[in-house]
Amino acid sequence: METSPQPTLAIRPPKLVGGTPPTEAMTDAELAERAAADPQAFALLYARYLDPVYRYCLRRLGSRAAAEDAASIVFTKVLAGLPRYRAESFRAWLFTIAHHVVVDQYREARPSQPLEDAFAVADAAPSPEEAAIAAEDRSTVRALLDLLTERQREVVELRLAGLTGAEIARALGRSQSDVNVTQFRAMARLRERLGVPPAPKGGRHAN
Amino acid sequence: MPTDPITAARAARFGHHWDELALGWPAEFGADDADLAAAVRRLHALDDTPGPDPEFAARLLATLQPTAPPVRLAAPTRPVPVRRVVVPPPSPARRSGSMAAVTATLLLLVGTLLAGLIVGSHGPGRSAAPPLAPQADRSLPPGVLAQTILVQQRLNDLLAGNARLRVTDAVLQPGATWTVGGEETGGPGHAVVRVEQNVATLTADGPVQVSRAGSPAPIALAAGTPTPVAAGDTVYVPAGVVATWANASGHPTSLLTTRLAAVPVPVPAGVAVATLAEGEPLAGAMRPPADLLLRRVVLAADATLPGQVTGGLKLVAVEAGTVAITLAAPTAPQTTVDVRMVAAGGSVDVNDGKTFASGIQSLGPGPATLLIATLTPAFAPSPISSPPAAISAQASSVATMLLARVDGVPANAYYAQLDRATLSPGASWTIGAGRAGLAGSLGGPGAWAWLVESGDLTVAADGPVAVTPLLSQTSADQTGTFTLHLGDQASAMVGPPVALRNDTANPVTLLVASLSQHARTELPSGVVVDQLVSAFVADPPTGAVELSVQRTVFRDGGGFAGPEPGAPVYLIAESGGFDLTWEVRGTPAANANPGATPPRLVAPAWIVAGDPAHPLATIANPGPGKSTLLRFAVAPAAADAASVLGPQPLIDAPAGDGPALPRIPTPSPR
Repeated sequence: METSPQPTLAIRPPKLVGGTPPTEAMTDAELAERAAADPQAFALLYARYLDPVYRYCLRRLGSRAAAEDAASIVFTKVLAGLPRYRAESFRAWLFTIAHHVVVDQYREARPSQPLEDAFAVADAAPSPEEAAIAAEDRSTVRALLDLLTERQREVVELRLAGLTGAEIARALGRSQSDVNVTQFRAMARLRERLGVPPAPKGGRHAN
Repeated sequence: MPTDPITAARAARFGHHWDELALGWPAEFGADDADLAAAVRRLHALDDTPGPDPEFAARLLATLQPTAPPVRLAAPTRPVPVRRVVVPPPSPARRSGSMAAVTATLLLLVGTLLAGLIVGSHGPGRSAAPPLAPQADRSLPPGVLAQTILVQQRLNDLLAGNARLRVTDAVLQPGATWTVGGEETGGPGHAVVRVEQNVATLTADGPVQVSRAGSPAPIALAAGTPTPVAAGDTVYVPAGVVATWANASGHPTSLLTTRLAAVPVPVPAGVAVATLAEGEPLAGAMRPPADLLLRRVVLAADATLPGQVTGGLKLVAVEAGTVAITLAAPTAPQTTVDVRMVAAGGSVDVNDGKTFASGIQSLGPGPATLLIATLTPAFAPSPISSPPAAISAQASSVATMLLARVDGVPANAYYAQLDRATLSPGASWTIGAGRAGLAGSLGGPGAWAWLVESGDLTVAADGPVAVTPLLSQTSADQTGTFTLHLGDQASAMVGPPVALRNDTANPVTLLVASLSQHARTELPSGVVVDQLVSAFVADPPTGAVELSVQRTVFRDGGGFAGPEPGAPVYLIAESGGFDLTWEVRGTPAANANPGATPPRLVAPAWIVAGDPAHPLATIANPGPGKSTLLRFAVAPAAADAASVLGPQPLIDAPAGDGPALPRIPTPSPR
């Protein structure tokens, strides 16, 4: 029996981006590859990294309002930059953005307030309640980080955010050996403040 | 500042180990760096920087993705007076500048995002809602339309007396508080609370753990700190800790609570509690540790969820539809003892010790939605681990649990690890997967061997996997997707990752040994691991490598000499305790601290033995009772060894007393 050729379909079903729906088990790179076009993938990355990014910003900037501002800008920039993301490590790329945002915020906050604002403030010192709240928000770790040089502090703060040495080197634009030595000296400086006595020299202990 | 080469090398070594530590592994710092290692750990432990306000998190996500419904942090009103830091008000120029930049960027982005959504939303199976936690599992048993793990928690003690498991739904009206765990408020009990709707403020008088929605890693909360928890967050409140939940919002808050306790919690004004399911008292029927799992399963009409004899407790509550639950005796799984029809709102304890559910069938016409709570022993007994009854009091017994030879192991496989893993139904663990740098890893390439201790495991591998079935003396290579059953062993040189999946409706327990390039630092949802050993091997074997795990049962007073000095051997106290003596300056069996109490290895601790500079002289069970020891070794394989050796049956070892102690047995290749 002769059959007539099937007409070519003019409309094809749209392709599913990435093949399967994104899941939490996917790597950062897999999610980042899809996230520019797939809100689900972006939401997973957001869920994975909002907490460390926010806490990094809070450690750097010292106030929740500033940290919220900074985190908002970081994720906005991440969303904007995802189509061009080609970095080897998503975390290093993410914290490179976070680092720059924090530096920008820090610079913006540095200049003194407009002169006219000064006249509106009767007493610049915080009230007892404000001081108590501020002291409550000032964590032990932030007090310790204040003991470090700025270069050391930058490295240790990224360590606290969970980055590896290689990722920190990429985020800060330094060599990994520089990062190694910086963190080594930073911890040597903090060791006593953390209440850790020097290790006895010698071999391993039995128990 | 110039750096001398010694400092640079030490700094590099220190940095490498901090990488491992930061990624969650107990890295072995060198003795010279022990103080800095302690400082690093202390610094991490002290880091109490608070996380983001859940309301802010939800608002920002909604701003970034305006089309996505607020599935994760549904907080209709500001729930609690969150502490706010006092800062000078930002200048209008700065604030408006920042926000203007955000707004401008967002306007550009929203267009891009919407375009992506329009294209993407036509694809099959897509949902507008991002799949934030709770996460739907990737693979589902036949007939299961959806499965969500709501609660997953390891319990290290099961409480004495008549503790029973209850699943409740508590609704707190605005302004209401609910205290759980105090003397007058339900007594001590383990509670895992999942916020189902809105937000609550939690204040506890002891440490609790919070798993934020979408984040697999729990966060420890200090006592006394009021903490907002939002929809999708899960909180584990251990027994002895009193937790107070407050609803400071203007809308009702719903808490799904799974609690193991003897006494139900009184219900104060403003709180309504519905008991969804309740089990029989445990009354010492189970030994800890145990895994608590609560999942929501949507079963297609007429589909049947199969059951297996797993031990433990299993409660089924029907939320929608009607099901028929077939009950059978564990000793005769094919013989039906009873069939119970359960409609929406009903529940049944299907594992009461006399029966188990051999099948749960949805009777239609629509799908049935079930809440299934299980409390299963975390350590499923190995089929080869029980010593024979006739063993003498002084003798010990030795069983080889895992013995595998793997060829082609690369030189950079530095991490020896031994895990006991439990895969929840639907869970998948891709071993051998690593990531760029050290950022997150499920193990990395290397030699892997695993034994199925309970359940049926699906393996999907592109390369060959050597499989030794239970009680078999030979192995055969398999590729593709295949199933391993209880007692089966498999091993492979994992280059391309191998997926280990639980495609069944019951938990699967594995013993997993590996020598791999990356430390395992991440686990997917649904996989719980007891990390028995994780060690950095400074000079790892390469090429042909033998992985072995033995279990030795020590009777009262039984003991062995330490392993021959050479390759490292990891000794894990699985139960009980052991007295150790170490050789000092070539004097065998002399205690390192003469006259002092011998150092003791108590479960679940482990030590490294085999160091020629510091050999273990003896290891003995001081009694009374028995203690069990696992011996995990990674060593170069003998040239004439078989390609893969499976588990070996139990053998009797010589008595462990007397001056001439035999060495801890080593598996001998057949």
